[in-house]
Amino acid sequence: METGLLRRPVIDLLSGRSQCLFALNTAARRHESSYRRTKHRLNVKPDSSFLLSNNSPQQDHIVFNPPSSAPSVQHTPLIFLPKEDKRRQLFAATAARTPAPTRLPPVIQKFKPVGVRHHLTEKDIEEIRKLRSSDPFQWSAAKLARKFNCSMFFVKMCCEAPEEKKELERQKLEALRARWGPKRRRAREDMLKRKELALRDE
Amino acid sequence: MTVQAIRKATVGQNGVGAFILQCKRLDFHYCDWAGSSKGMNSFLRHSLSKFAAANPQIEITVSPRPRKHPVIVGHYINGREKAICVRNLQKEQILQKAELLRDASGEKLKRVTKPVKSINESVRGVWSPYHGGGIHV
Amino acid sequence: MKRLRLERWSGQLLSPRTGPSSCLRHQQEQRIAGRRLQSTSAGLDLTYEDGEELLSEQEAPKTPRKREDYPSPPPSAAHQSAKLAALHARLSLPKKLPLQTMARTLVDPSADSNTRFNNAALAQVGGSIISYHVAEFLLATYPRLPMTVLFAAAYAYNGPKTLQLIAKEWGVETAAAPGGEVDPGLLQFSKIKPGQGLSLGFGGGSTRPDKKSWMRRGISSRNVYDDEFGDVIPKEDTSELPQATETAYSNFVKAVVGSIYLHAGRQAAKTFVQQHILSRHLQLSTLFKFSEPVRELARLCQREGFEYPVARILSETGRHSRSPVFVVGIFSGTEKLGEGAAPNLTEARVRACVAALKAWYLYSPGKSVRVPSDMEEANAKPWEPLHVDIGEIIH
Repeated sequence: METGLLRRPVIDLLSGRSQCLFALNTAARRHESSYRRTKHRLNVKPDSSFLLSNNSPQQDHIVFNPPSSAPSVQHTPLIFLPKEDKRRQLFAATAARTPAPTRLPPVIQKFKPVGVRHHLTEKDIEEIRKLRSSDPFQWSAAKLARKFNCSMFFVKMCCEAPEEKKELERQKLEALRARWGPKRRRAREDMLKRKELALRDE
Repeated sequence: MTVQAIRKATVGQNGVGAFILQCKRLDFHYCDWAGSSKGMNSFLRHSLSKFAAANPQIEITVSPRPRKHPVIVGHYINGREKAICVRNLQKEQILQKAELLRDASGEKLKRVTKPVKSINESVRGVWSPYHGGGIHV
Repeated sequence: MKRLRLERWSGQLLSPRTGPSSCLRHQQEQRIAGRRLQSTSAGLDLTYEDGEELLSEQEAPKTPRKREDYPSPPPSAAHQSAKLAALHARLSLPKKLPLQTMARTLVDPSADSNTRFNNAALAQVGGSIISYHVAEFLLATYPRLPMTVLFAAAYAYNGPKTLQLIAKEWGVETAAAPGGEVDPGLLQFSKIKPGQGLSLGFGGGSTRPDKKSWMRRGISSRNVYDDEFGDVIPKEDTSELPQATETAYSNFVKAVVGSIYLHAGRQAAKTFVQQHILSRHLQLSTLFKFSEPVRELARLCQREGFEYPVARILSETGRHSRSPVFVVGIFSGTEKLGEGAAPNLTEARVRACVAALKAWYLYSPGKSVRVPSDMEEANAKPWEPLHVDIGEIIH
């Protein structure tokens, strides 16, 4: 099998028109018994920028292939660089050559910023406070938000629920938690740990 | 609340800044009666002072160990010791053993399979299947 | 920076008397308890300024005192110790630094309270030099670090735990108990007995003025009142009480730097600090712990005038399955600030915001950036101003 490969002219192999550059690598070969089966799968075509073709530039040029890996925090984005940093000019030179991206990835609707709307007056805020303090069990934050067409965050900024409501909600939560079995409890604790790990990005 | 910090300690990289020789002490034990200690006695008389002068970082002690074979014990900064019995060796061979102990770190001998061991991250990052264009197999 | 002319002071440190002995107890110590001199030639011409004869000389014991009676080994023993000479050579210390001073750096104030024979003064000088060089390195290399992370990074480089590790990596061992007969090459300090509590010195309070409960110990006040790691400084001086091993080792390392500064000069001390302390490895991105990174990033973009950060989904796989992966990127306009991958969208957005904030805070002009003390060398090139950051994000 190896002699068959080597009988082909070397230039033909190196030009990349054949697809077995990878299979020549000794480390990629396995046992003889499965070589036939893996050889086909391991024939991965190199990136087109590494192969000579009719479209490749004739003079010396730099091939830029960004790695297939997550970006590191040690790389500062262009807009984060201070004005006096010399690397800005380098970035600007590269940016001038590459065209701006036509389409950005889709926005996540859940996190889309709604924006601030100044449609509520002082009277409305007074109304919110009155309703909340009069009957906190009927006028929950969600109901008030729907009535006044604002966010729950704004309702909570205006006023807090009275102490007995808060106490009741706390007791309800405690009762729920008491019903958890060991698996659910562990799962919930894992969720908290994962949240903390995410805040450290580890 | 703003950013909080986690306290850690830095990790030493011997040789990146200053180099600290890991062998801090060598004990030479000899015997006046045993025939196996002839080479060691000759080493102590003729070669040891030159070896000690060439390696001032090592604390060298010489003491008799009667009715036993001669031995060199090396003490290292990580707390471990290495002992080499030098019975029936010539003084040149004993010098070689002393140099072997001096050049060792205190770690246990282990087989090295990989060519590079590093604490720095790779330059291009670890490959991730979710980034890059993907490869068609 | 005003230069401290410590070369002039070194003569004082090695002379038998620095001036009129103001402390009576000190006088009595010297006469009655037997004289300890820092150098062998010092005892030859000794005249007291008050002109008194040593009346108690006739009453003083004629027999020479044994080594065990002194709290620390005499300076003459420094040349007899193989451990000390080996330590001196292992650290490649300059020849200008004598072994007697090396021996002195190994004596903690808890072993010997006499300030002329312990390392308290040397540790004070050396500690300042170490923390100065570490601080200027961190501020020049990472100008945008938030204050808490800066404190933690300084602690990582020259905190007591790290200095203990450094001293142990130099092969310094401790003596079981201090005394005059101990090998001068061992670190001598009075050890805490098992079960005995650490005396941190807060019995007398701290140097901070916040006695009322409403006085908050915020970060700005730490800069003014606390030490270089943001820890409270106790009012009581417990240096002569039994010490933790960590404190004794860290005092020793500081004293070594102080002694190098004293005998070999400013540049030698700086090189020593760079080679032994700043050459150590620290991954700064692991020191951060955020709370509400989404809000913080939004505040940052508002302050700097960038477009409002928007979370976009870069790639995903396995939605509605047991193990989904969402890769979310935070974009300000067309510029991607940070990226994060997680099994759910919320966590992925949080990770992306954390990555973006770390990318902001860990901006560095490069590892080989010039520090202010480089200007003290001869023929230093003209100074180019460093980047000074506006400060961390407040929200």
